Amino acid sequence: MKKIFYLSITLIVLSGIVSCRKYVEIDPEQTRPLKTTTEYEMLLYNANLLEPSYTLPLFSGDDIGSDEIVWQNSLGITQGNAYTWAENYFGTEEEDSQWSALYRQMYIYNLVVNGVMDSDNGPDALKRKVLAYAKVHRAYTYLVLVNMYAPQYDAATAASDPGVPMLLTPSFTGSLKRATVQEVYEQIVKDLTEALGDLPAIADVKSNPSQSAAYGLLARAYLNMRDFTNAQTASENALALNSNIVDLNAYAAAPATYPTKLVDPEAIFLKRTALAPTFLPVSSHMLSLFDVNDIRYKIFTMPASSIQGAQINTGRGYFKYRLRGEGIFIGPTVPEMILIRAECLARKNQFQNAMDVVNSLRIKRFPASAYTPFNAADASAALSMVMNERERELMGTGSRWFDQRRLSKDQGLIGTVARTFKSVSYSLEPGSNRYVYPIAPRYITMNPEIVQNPR
Amino acid sequence: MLHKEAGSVTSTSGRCLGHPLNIVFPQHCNPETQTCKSMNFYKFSLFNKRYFLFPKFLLVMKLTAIFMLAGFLQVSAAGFAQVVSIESKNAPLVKVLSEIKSQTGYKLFYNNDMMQRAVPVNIAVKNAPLEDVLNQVFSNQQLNYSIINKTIVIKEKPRSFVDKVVEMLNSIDIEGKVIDIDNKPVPGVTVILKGGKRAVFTNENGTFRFTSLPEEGMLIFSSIGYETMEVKISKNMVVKLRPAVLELPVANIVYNGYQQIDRGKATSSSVTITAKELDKSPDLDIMKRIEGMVSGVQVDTRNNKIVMRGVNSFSSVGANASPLIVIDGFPALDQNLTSVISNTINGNPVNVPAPSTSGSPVLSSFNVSDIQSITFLKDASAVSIWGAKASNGVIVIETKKGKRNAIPAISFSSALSTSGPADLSNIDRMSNKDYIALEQELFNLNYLTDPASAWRYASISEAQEWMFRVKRGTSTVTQRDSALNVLANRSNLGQIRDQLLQHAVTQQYNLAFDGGSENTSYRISGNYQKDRPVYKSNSGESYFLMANMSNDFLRKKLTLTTGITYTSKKAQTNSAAINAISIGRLGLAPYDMLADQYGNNIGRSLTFTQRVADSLVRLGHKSWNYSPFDELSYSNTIENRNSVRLNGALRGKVTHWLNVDVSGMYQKNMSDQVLLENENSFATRERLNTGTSIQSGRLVYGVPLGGIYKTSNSGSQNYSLRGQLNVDRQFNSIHRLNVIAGTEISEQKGSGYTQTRYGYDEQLSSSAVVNPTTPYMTMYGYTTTLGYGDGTVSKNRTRYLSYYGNAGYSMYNKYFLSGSIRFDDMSMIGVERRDRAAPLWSAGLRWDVKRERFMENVKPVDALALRFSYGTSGTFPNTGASAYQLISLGGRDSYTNLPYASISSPYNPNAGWETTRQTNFGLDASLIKGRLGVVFDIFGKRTSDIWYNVPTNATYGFSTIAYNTSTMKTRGYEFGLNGQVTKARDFQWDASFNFSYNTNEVTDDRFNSVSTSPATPRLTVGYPIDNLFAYRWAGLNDKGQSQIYNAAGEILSSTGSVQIQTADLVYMGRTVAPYFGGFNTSWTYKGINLFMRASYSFGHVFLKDDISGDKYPTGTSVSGLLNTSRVLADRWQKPGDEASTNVPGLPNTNFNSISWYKYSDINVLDADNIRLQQVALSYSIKRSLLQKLGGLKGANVGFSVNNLGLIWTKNKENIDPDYVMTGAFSNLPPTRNYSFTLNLSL
Repeated sequence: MKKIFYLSITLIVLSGIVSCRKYVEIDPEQTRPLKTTTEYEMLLYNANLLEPSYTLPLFSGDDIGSDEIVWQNSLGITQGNAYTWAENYFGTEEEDSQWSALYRQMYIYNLVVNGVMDSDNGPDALKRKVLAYAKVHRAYTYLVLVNMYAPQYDAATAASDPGVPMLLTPSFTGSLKRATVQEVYEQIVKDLTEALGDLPAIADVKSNPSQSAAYGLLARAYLNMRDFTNAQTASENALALNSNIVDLNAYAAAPATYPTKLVDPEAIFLKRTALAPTFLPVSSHMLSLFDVNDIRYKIFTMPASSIQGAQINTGRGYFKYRLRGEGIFIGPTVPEMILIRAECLARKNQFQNAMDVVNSLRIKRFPASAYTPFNAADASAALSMVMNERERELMGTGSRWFDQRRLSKDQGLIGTVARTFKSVSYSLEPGSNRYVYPIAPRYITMNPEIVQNPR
Repeated sequence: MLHKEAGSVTSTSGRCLGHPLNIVFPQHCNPETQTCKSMNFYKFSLFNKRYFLFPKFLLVMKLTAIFMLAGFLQVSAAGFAQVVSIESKNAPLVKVLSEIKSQTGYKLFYNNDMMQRAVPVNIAVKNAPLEDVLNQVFSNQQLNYSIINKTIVIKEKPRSFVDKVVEMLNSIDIEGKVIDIDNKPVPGVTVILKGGKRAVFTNENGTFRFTSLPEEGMLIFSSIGYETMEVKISKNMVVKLRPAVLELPVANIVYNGYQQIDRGKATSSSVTITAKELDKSPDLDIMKRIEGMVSGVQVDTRNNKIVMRGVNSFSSVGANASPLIVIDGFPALDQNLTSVISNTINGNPVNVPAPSTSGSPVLSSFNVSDIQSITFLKDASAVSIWGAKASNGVIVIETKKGKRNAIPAISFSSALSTSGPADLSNIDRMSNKDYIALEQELFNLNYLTDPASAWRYASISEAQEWMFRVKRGTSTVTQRDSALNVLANRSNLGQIRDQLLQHAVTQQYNLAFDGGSENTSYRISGNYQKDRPVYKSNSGESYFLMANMSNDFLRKKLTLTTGITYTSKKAQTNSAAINAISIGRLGLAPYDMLADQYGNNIGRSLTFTQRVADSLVRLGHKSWNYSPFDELSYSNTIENRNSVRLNGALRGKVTHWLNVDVSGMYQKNMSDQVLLENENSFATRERLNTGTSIQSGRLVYGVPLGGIYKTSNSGSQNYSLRGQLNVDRQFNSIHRLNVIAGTEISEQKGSGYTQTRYGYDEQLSSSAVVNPTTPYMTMYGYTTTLGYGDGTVSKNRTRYLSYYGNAGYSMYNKYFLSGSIRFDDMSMIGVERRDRAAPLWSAGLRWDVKRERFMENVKPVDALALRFSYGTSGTFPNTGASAYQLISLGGRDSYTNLPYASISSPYNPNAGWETTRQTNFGLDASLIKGRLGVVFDIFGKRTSDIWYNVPTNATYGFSTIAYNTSTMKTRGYEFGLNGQVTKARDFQWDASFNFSYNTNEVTDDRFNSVSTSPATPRLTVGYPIDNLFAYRWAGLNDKGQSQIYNAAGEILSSTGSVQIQTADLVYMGRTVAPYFGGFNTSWTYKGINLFMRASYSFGHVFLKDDISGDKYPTGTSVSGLLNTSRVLADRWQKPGDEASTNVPGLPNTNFNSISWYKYSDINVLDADNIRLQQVALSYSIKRSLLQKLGGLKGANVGFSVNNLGLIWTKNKENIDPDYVMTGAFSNLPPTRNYSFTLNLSL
């Protein structure tokens, strides 16, 4: 009897412990399966991951550079390769941090594009907005990739020129064959156009996409495709939604009060370079384009000797990004839209209109006492004035490198660039193969269907 | 209590309460004699069961009160008269004496054994004087009495010659036999005549002869492993000994956390270190105490890591490679034996970073003095009971407990150790002259910028300043050269040693109190430890408090065991000293003194040249100067860790063969860190100054004035609850079955966060309100923000549910079979139960060969057993394997304030367990009368489905993706030898030696690495995972750049487009020692013991690592201390040097050139070494002397020298392979250390 009593106590105690599997199936802390629409949305709010974009074009363009060996010694190996348009940038095993980071973002965009419409607990409008967000991000990223690693768009050859591997679903297998340049551009335009209807006109937070961002990117894409009509339309659409230009006169005296990234009236869509070097020297070519009264020269460049952390003490360095320490912003802006519009007008021979458009920007860049409006005698003079203004406005952002590539399809707008690096001379002719970045050999070894760019 | 019959004479009022008075400490009694030993004076079995049917525990609780009451009664007893009235017929002597006692108030002092031999007493007296009565009572007895200080002391009567003759005539000679329950003879049993001093032993046939025994006497039979028995003397007696169930000597038990198994019956491979062995080394760091002691266990004290039987998986670091640490039956919350404290503020309860350098304060996780034993479970059969957590082996720690029926004892021990001053000559440092020449070459090559050219430049070294003076024309070449000459002859090493370093000192004090009565045992201990490492302003302190209690209820049917452990630890870290000798901005150039000739501290401006810094100070800035010595007082990171562990177990005896255990443990760790960078600290001054701009002629402070106060708080807790059935049943004399089965749940969770406060005022203990995202203006004309990184609260929670069972079956006590199975399920998001919960099992076999008949006559072999085991273990990769796409939450973007999510790992529908199958063959032998013990094990492990981050084309979105993909095997053998070289009466020489070998190999032929990088081991089929590949060095070219050979023997140049192929690298060997072990020996002469301990490791290689890309002085940061590596002094400088040097030059440098040099075969050296860890001398004070010292039970004093360093190393450069240069002081081996120890017990 006693034994039975003890045994039953034992069994009761034991059965209390042996709970069901529900005991272990608890909600996790901080990590969870991706299910709800809000979670998809949050993936796109990861600005620290999704804002950074390219870095090397900063060093490739002719708007930066210095012959000072101390500065050149401070460059990383890959940066030096980009600066000298080298044959290879990367070692056999080395990752290309830009390629990998951009494709890493692409995985997230593809994940959202393919999954958000089937996600849980989200109103349809939210799902569609998140889908549109992802498409705009994806279009931006492919536009960057195709302009770094593929030849410049040329209507005659685009359908056969290798572009970049174009994954549209999150996957870890399958061919990485480079889609043609044409296909990549078509996808960019498709994504942007599809997204437009579900986007807010103006972004709630400038790191999120908006209609103005989509139009801005469309304008960029068409400009690269030399479809100037569509580029102009897109830039005008963008400007219709946001045409704020900062009057730099307000900041000439106290440049450090320049608006921060989220409240910058000119910013349309925030993307930034992955790296913001402490010091980016202004090239002599760039300096020669400046009027000393230009406020951009005064506050957005600085003598190297007063820039903290500058390796050298001669020449000037870019300073706009250092004013706020938030990064070098490279997304579409209102001034860029104005300049695209002006360029398209100039190319369509409406040079007087083009000058008016450019002047609407320039008037905000000079003190009234020093301002003289541009006047052009013909379309080609107007075009070259617009292009110079574009250089000044978009300096130190890598944008110049992409323009150099683009303008190689125009006669006479760019020349051969020459530079000396650690006492070796290098030069780059317009249209050279070296205008296309090499693909890291690692990726080709792993997926030989990726073909290397001719050097 | 004095005697069992207490209370059977019933005339006193305070019968039970009065008896405790009779506890008399026998100063007049020699504890060495048999008589005294068998006395029960000390025992706390105060109350006879018959009189107290209340539950015992109530009484135990009342003990204190009773003692107090007893004290009063004693006082009143003094007033009794010394006359006695008594009448008895054939009454036992005891009864009579008790009556006398109650009438007189006199105390009694006697031995129970004597009383049993007393003759019954007939007496009738009335008011007779005490002495008359006693004379009458003792007239017929073999006993005598005396009265000492109101105590009646009863002694044996000295026997006359006649008595002895009579006794001899009455005595008998007997023969007998001792057998065990299997009817096998038991040799070596001690047979003692009860109450006498004589003893004999049984021979190998279990028989004994005993002569001249009293006919009515008792014999006591005792032998290790058997219960001690008392048997009445008879002719041709046969005594059957029962095996002892409890209290086997620790070393003979394998405690796996769930059950205790007799080592002689274990099928598994394990090693136990007992408290005695642990005590041989006085080191604070328990890792150092066990290093080289256990075969198959590699202890890396430099990196605070333990590896058992090699690796089973590709993740050779982190939790996946560490053994599970179990304390008193439950996994410890802190899975490190020792914590090395870093100064990183960390709010994550899971990942506590360890510092990268050695010499940080050490906090032990356990009080070594509380450890009864540490068992290392090695093979599958031993660990499978722990299931999923145990694939890397298990370390089971058992703490000391009080013993039943034990005399209360106090033990005290103390150890104090001090190290010699740090030997700075061991730093890999070139001469000052060479250092200045290095600076001169950097200067000549234009790697340096003249700070005088702009105000914002950082300051440069004194030597560089002189070089620039010549360039500027403010100084002549002669002036410069004479100044440089002064610098070349000035060394700061002396000042660094005196001002920034200290003698490392450790202190330990331990006090423990234990005891037990028949139904209760307890142990309480307290410990204090202090560690003061070699760097000033660093220290660690720990307090441990532990109390254990065990009580029996319901006539020992129910046993309740409870324990509580509280640990409080505190550590202070400060990196000023280590920074001063490390490469980089805060490092001191070798000629930079700490104090001037008058003894004043020298502060140097680092951010700007001294001239600019001084003028900024004149404008209102705080000082820009940095002085390592001053910094010792600021920026201390103070860490407090408190932990508490409660455990309880209730064991119920259902039948004689079935027990039920219900046990549980709760653990909680709380830790907080405080780093106050007060206003005087350099970091804060620099931050405040940088944030101070001059606007409209006045200073505007962007950062609130005051200190920066950083804190972190983290806590983790864990509970486990277990129910277990234990069956131990002997079916007849042949079969015995031992089964445990149980279930267990546990939960572990933690949370933590960090916080930074600005403008902290120590006096007011208050800080300023800041918006960390509001931009403020800096002195450089741009704005910045304080930044916000404290938003996230780290949290984790995991639950486990397990069912387990273990069965052991033995036949004829000769064949043993064991099997175990365990089923584990745990919280794992996104994994289906079928993949999540895995059954793991093992089986084992033991054959006690010596018990076979054919071994009976093999005399030199005392014991011989063979073991075999096979089983599986598994690990679930905790790196976020998931069948769903997982995201991590918990952050808000600091600009947009939007909550964001990130992808923690890509989706993998097939995520599952890594499975290791282990086979083990073992042999245990004992030879030459137990003088030589041999343990040999050979094992093989095969792991499949290894979780590996397969390199992926980053185009897919990830550079690596983890899969259960590969296979590998590990095999090895272990050999342990324990011997008594000589054993004489006074002299004993013991030695033990162990040797282990293990190797591993990737067996998956898909793993054929195409890696061309030697930096990380490449996983390739046929190679061990800790492989080291190197470039084949081909010398320098005429530009001072490295060249290597490719596979075809062509020389490759580091410039241009270099295509290195996998085959161009050569295999150099393993980086983990395949052969390792230890040796220790001790000589004991009387109380003096000399002990020596050494460890060795052979067969591996290491990379010299004296120059690396980021430490090469042409890199972007050339401020502060440059790389001082001696080889750099021999660098290439001009064409032609390539004939005599291999060190790349400063000009024409490129990444490949430095990396090729660093990873070339010329820099791979043999790491084989033998290390003498300790020589210790101790003296145990003789018992006779202890008596004079006031009855101490034991006293031992010791002196030891530790960290004696390398005895031998294979590499010719004499580099200590365990402490190679990693850029800081950490290349210094620990210095020699001297310890004094004292142990007392009373």
